Amino acid sequence: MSKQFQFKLVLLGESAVGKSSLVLRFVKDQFDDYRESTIGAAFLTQTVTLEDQTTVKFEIWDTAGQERYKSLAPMYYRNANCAVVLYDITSSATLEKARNWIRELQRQADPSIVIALCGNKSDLAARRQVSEEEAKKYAEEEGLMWAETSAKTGDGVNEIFTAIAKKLPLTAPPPSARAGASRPGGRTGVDLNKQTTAQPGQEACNC
Amino acid sequence: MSAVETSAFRALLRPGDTVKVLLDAFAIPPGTDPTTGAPLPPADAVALLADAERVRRASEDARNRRLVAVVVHNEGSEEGSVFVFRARSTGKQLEQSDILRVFPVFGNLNISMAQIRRTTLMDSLRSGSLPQAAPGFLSLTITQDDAASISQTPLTLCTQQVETLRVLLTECKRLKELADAPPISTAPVLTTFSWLSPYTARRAPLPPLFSIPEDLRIARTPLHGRLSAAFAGQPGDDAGDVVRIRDEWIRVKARDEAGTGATRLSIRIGTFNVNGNLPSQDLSLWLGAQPLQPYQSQGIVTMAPALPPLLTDLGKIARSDFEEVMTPATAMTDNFQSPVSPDPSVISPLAGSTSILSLVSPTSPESSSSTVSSASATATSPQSSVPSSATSTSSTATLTTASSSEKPDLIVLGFQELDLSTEALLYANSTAREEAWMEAIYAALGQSKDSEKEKGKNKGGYVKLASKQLVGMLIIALVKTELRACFDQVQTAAAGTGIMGLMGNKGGTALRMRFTPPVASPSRSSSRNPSILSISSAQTTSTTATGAQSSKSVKLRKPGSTILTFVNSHLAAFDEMVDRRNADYAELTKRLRFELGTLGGESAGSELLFGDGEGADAVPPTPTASAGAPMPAGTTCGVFESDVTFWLGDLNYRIDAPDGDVRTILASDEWEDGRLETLVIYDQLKAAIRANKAFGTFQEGTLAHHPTYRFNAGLLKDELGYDLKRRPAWTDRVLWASNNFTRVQQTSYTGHPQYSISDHKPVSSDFTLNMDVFDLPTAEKSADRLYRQLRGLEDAHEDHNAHVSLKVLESSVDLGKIGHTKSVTKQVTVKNIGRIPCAYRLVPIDGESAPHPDWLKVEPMAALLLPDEIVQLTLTTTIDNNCAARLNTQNKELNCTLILHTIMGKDHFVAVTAEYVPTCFGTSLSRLTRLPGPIRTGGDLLSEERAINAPREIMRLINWMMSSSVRMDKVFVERADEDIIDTIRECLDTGVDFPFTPDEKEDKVPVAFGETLLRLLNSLPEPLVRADLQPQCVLQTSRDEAFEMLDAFEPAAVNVWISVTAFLHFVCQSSAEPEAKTLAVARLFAPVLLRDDAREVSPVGRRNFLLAFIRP
Repeated sequence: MSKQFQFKLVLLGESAVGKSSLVLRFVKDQFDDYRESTIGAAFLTQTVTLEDQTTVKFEIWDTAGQERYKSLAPMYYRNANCAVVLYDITSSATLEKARNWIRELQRQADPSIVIALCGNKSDLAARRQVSEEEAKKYAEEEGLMWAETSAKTGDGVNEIFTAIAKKLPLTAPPPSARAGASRPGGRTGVDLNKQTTAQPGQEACNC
Repeated sequence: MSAVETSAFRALLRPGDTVKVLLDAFAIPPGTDPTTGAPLPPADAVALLADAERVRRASEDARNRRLVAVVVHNEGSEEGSVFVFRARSTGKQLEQSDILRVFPVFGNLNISMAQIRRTTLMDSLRSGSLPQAAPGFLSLTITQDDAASISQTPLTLCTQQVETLRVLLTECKRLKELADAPPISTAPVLTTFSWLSPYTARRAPLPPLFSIPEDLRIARTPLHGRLSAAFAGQPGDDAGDVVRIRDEWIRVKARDEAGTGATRLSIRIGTFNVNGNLPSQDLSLWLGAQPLQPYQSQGIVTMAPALPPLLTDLGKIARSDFEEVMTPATAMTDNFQSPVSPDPSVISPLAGSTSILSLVSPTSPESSSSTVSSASATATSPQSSVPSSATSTSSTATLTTASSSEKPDLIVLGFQELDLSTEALLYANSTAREEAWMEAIYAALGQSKDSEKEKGKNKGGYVKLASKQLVGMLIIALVKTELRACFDQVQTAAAGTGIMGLMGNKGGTALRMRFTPPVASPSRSSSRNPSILSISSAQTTSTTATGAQSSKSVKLRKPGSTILTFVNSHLAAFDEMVDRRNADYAELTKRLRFELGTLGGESAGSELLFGDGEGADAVPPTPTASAGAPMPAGTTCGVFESDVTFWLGDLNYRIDAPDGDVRTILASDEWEDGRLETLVIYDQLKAAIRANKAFGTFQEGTLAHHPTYRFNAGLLKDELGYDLKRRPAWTDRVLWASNNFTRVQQTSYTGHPQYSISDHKPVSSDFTLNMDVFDLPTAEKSADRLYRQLRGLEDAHEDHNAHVSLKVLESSVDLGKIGHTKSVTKQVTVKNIGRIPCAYRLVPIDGESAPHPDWLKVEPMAALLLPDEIVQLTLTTTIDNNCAARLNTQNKELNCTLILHTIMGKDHFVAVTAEYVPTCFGTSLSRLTRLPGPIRTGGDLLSEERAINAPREIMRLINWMMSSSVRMDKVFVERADEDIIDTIRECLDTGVDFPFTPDEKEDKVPVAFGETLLRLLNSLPEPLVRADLQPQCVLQTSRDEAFEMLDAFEPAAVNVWISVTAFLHFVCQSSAEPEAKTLAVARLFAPVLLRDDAREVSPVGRRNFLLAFIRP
């Protein structure tokens, strides 16, 4: 019997660096050229199967990047096991924002959080403003994982999520992993799916 | 067969079930013999073979179209079933109820086919004008003889699709072979077809929606308040929430779609603690019936000699109370001409046509009118039972307007201390005294006790519906004889909370009953079901997006019922036992249970469930599924599982004000104006409701009558007759709680001081219940369809990544400038752009916050949207004094982010910004005196040393009013004009000069200035006389002592106090009636200047302190 794990992952980064696109590529293997800016926070799930047949289910919170919603972000990265902080390689300002997010996570998030720094839009290397060396050096200094990705082409997307899965503490599953498909934040020990099927009348109204 | 239909049917199926074959067929309706009109037997294959003409006619009527599908369920092993369902015209969604028959493919299922003779057909075609290419018709007959199967009558259909029918038969054969293969396990065959149950047991989810009303404590909580705890990034129990939102949506929509109008029921409720006495006075006044003896003269209440005379001491309040209610009915005295009967046992003939009810009816005629007419009034005409074309968008409309003297339909009386003997406590079920009181009740109603038995002679009278006694507590319900048939499922309950928490000296008895308005049938005489129901013509105001039924009026076949519950209770006594009373209430709400398990016999719902004219091929209902079906034995329900619950009795709540104060306020002329309003503030029951310690679900009308306890016939009484040893109190009360489907209107609530039977006075209250009438079968059908319409809503959680898609069109809202009084409203459009229904709710940012700040109101806080449906989220600013007090000292820029959580989906943010315009209202005295100028001009606060003596705003108001040419006669007397007040406030905040010149002839502006001053003082975060100083203030007995108290005030407060009281003194002195004006001013200003939020300081003392300064 293969092992199953479940982790909460949060995506952070400046507006328009491609957070939602990266998730869409990872979860559905799709890409939209024109995506509306996320005003809110979306919840998605995707499962990664490792070589030893261990499965890791990511419960992903894709958050709004706009500055005005920054105060809400802590509510979403609270209890997160891992964070993907995104910047756009064609804009050095977005790396600055990424540094701010990382500082905030190191200060306020769970101390054991696994942080990955991702340079997105690697397909636009011609307009590159952030060099690989610069970002990589920063990541090494801070002890972060680092990769460049392209949500458009799919380059590096699955790789970074798989790498995160491998880096997570797969020996001691977090308590939520036992609850099967339960949602993050569902109060501990409450299996929401079970509860649903136990609802009287629920069965009959599915008809 | 269109692709649309195929996919429509697929949509009807549960995931995992697939359609193998779909055959287009039609049914042959049962015809009538053309010559005799007698119904012909249902079409069978043999008959059809010879009657091709009938087949052809049937094939042309779209209503006969049927689809036959072979559906396969594959869960390990393959199982098949033949579905027969009604076809819809293109584009219409299929409903669950369109599935007419379901035949599991196994055992004795047999499908036979036969060709209908073409020659006969061709003959008939030749005579007609039909196209040459005549179609070949085939008949197919499905039979299933298995005794345990769900459908037994053979079904015969016809089709032209020869090839498809062949495929269908082949597929059935294959499935049958699979099913008939030697069983692998020993399980009985039927259990393996359990996947079919959702299609056949389609009524299963409905009973909770229409048979037992939702608990009133839940029904009265706004929808979002019933949802799970959740906040940003932390969804709660979404799966549970979606069921709550869905059920509420369906319940409201289904009833709405099935609505046919409205009905009314008038109820008179009485409560009386009789202190162990027997009835010795005519009860008609309390019961709202015509009195046995007339009142002798107008204005002065003198009871007839046959009754024990009123306490003379009470005459005064009796008169003043009585004059008030009598004013509209002064003409009544002319009607009372029957001779005075000296013997109470002799029942005098009913006098005149005006009922005593008009005494307690409100002055407004329509509020007391009842549509439930008596037998003498016009019976419900056939037209009124069928919704006419008149458009009535309001929820109720009245066709018949009865006079205000109409007798109540239902009388419910609660007695306490009926029997104070020890025996009664030990033998709790003695009913000896009930008989005596029943006799007195019947006498007061003008009928003899035995009239019940004399059928036919009791027209217009009452019969006892039920009663329940526990020791001294008795509850009796009487109903108009002609309405008796409308009430059923009458249940009783009792619980003791007295000695040891169990004995019946305290506790409650309760009645629960079902009221069903009758269906007025045009063909039937109205003698059995009299004209109780006045159905207004109402168009169903459905707003369903797909609303198949929204445009057609609903025919009433079996009306839905209303559950009425009445609790009569006697709670713990004594002033200080308020906690015990609250506990008794909580205990009774738990322990008063009605047994429902034996009610099934009375209901006859099931046969009507399918009365849709399709009886020939409708699925027979599952017995346990119908709403009217019997509940299992042992099913109980509480007092809140009701559409409306009345709670009456001697609740024993007292008045938490000093004894002397209570008596002074009740008796003194100085308190004549507003005496009851003042005392109500200190009422323990009102306080318990405010603090949600007891009766939080209930509401009570205004107490406009004197306390009903405790009266003493002996010497130890005050001038009003109240016992000197007991603080007077409103112990005897009537409260109610109802859901949104039942609108309760209280038309009277009063005590009856004329009675001297007991140390309590009886209390009565009249109610009119307005209930929507809806057709139960239609509502159940609608609910069924609505459930299907919401398909996917609760499944969405299984796949977080799909489908749920809500769009918020405005991601930010700027409310602009918002102020203390000016309410600003903006809307945000929310649209469901997904393919399945979805629901949203507002969630707070974290566990400590509210979903929105206190200065903003958002509606609706939770809602369900069908695909493409739009909801307007309305944001309204509400800034009260408390809120202003806080905002005045804060940053003017207000902003917040609303989080709209899509159930099973993402969170949407709506950023809200506003600019707060500060005001002097809600600003503390110390801050007002340190403002460098008018509050709007801003600037740094002055240092404390440089603070001004008194707020310039207060001084400006007083100075304007003190100018010589202002008329002060109407100030503090008349109602102020809100627009003028707004202008004055604006000038105070901006420093602009008042645009009003004092005018000797003008009253409106001074009145508005006076009101503005009062409101400004009342908006001070701290009362002008600080709460901690008030206890000392009330101890001062002379004017000099009162002035000495001022030394303890803050300097600014002293200045304001002196300015305001000097001004008020001037106003009182210069009045034409100085004493009256002084009392009016004191009444208004004492509760403001000496505001007592904790309700701990003597109201009489506070007023006297102010009077020391302002009395001329």
